[in-house]
Formats: sequence, structure tokens, C-alpha cells
Amino acid sequence: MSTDHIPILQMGELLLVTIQVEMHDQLAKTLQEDLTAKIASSGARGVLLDISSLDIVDSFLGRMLSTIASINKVMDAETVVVGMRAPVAVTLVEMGLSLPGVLTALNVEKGMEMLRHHLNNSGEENHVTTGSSRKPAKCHN
Amino acid sequence: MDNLSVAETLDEERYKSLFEAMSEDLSIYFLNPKGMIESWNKAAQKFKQYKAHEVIGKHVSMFYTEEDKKRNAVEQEFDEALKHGRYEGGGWRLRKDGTRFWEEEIISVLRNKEGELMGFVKVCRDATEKKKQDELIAQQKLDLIELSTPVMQLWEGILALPIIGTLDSARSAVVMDNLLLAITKTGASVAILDISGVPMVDTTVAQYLMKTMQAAKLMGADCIISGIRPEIAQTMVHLGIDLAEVKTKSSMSRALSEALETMQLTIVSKNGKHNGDSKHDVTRKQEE
Repeated sequence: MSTDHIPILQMGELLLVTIQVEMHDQLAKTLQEDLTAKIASSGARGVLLDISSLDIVDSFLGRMLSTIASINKVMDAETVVVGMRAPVAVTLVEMGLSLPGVLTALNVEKGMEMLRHHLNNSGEENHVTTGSSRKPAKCHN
Repeated sequence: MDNLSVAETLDEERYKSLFEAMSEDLSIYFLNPKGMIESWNKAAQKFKQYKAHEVIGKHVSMFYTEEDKKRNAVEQEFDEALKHGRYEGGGWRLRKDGTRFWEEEIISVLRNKEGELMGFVKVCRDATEKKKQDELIAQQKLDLIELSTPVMQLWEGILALPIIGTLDSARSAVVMDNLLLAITKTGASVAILDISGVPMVDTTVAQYLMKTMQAAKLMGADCIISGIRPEIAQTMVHLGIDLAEVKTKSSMSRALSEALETMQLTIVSKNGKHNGDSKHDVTRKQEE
């Protein structure tokens, strides 16, 4: 068992994690620990989990994504899973892992947009919204 | 097909004329236990283009394609025939001029009265036309499914999928594939699935729809179901189909309105004059 760590990049209030290798138990656990530590130390409010490099998934990964999102939520950080490829989405759905309660976006850019809306909505009131509520955040919840 | 008992009931002359009659359209020839060709008939010559002296004594695999020879197709067919008494199947075969044709065949086992293996008899015919038609029908079926599940982009980021016809597993697989492909290509955030053309929605159909919407959501696109007819709404509730998480609208226009709302877009009249609906839309946004 190697003690590899998946790099976590910080961009302002957001953390970006790109998963490019096959996840196994130890790696997933390490990632969870690293992420929670980083959220605590940086005060980040949003996490982007980029899985655009993954061609295949198994149920382990599906559950891992859910778990990480839940843990981050407890640390007051919102998680968005981005870049899920079509075959991966189909596989997860077929396995019955539709990841309810996990925010998703097509790519990092949209994911960041989504997080910004979400954070502005629940955080400081200085961002002007044109009357209607921020539907994107609401729908996915 | 027990040749020995048939021979017992018919006299030789009638047996021979039966054989001749069948020989016009059915390729019939005897093989020894090793697969060497022992006889030939009219139809065999017609289909395979070889004359009797060119094939007798040769192994039956001479008509088989390279791929079939590589995977020992002939041995497999013989094994199958020996196990069950006969083998029924088909495959691509080669004529003398090298061209291919699709052959449907029956290989029967011949045993003498003591039960010893005497060889095989192969009855086959050229079924290339039928195979072509079968393949055409299969292809048309796929084409039909493709044609009846178009994906249209209504606006930047908004897709519409009018689904026409019964939503079975094949169709729903195509809908899901087409939708996910469109999301990847256009980066859409909202997809409107219009089911006014779907005659019946039961639990299975509802499941197909749910799966499709879940997969789309994993790729960051929300789905709205539109075109729900009154009967469908009643059926779904009676069946206890839970659409709690799903946005449903009765018409495409309402769905589009909802989609625009999700995308934070609003339609504004150019000349400032408000006719019924647009005024309604603009006002609603201000009131919220």
C-alpha cells in the first residue's frame, strides 16, 4: 500500500481535486483525510471533484463520491462533482447509484459557477440577484 | 432424419425420385466420418459452382471461410451433430469463384443398424437473400428508433427531446445515449423530455425515464418532463409512481418557461409593447 496523495489545489475559496487514477480503499481514505484537513486549514467553502479523466467507475467510486460530499458538507463546504463522462453516468445509474444530494456539473468552469452561486446565495448578501431565486442550486438539492 | 428407416418404407425407385426432386433446390451430400465429401448433387453444384469430380474426396471445410476454419467450425458442427443427432445452423461459405454466400444447413448423423457412425449427410441451401433482408429489417428498426428520438437545441444550454412512440428498453437506451451525447457536445444545463407522443406510461416506462434523467443530472443537466397528458398523470399517480424530485409540465411552452427560469433568462419584447404573455413573464420576474 503506497502512501500516495492526490493533489488538492486551492483557488481562493475553492479547492480543486482531480482524480486520474483508479481509487482503492487506502487512496480514498487518504483523500478524505487530506480534504477535510485542507478545508479546515484553508476555510474553503467549495470543493470541485474532477473525474473527467475516468473512463470507468465501479460502485466503490460512486459511494466514495457520496461520502466525500457528505463529509465536506459537515465541514460547511459544498462539493460539486464535475466532468462525469456519459458512459460513467450510465454505469452509475444502472448500478442504482444516482448520487442524490450530490451537486454535479459538466465541467470545472460550470462547477465553479455553480459553487459561486451557491456560496453567494447562502453566504454574504452583497451579491445582487435579480429577484428570482438561484434555481440551479435549489434543483440539484 | 433417419435415412435408413425412410429407405425401408420407400422402394428404391421412389426413393431415388424423391432425392432427385429435392436436389433441384436443396444441396445434399454425404460426408464420411472424417468430413470427406462422398457425393454431390445438382443444387450443390449450382450453389457452390463446383462439379462433382472437383469435390469428392476433399474435406468439407474447403467451402468454409478462413475465419471459420481458424475457429474449427466444421469440427464444432460435427460435435454438435454427434451430441444431438443433428446440427442446424448457418454461416458464410465460399463458392468456387471466391464469392461468399450465406448458407443455412442441417447436418445429420448417419449410423448403421449396429449404431456405428457411417458418416454425415449435409442438407443446405443458399439463404443469402433472406439474410440480406433480415439484416435490412434489423437496420431499419435501428434507423426508426434513431429517427424518432431527435435531440434539438432550443436555446444555448437548453435541449428538447420529443419522444414519439412506445418507450421500450431499446428506445430508452437510444434516448439516454442521444441525450448524454448532446449534453457533452452542447454543454446544456437543461433538457426538456416531451412525452406527449408516448402512448402509455407505466412503472417500467417511468423507470426508463428516471434512469435517463438521473444520468443527465450526473452530467450536470436538469431534466423537465413536458407533455404529460391527463390520462398519463392519472395512471402515474394510481401506479404510485413517485415523481417527487422530477419537474413536470403539461406543455412544452411551460417547460421552456421553466428552463429559461433555471438559466436565469427572460424574454423581453423589443418594442416595449407588452402583449399578454410576455408582459406576464416580465412582471412575474419583478414580483419575485
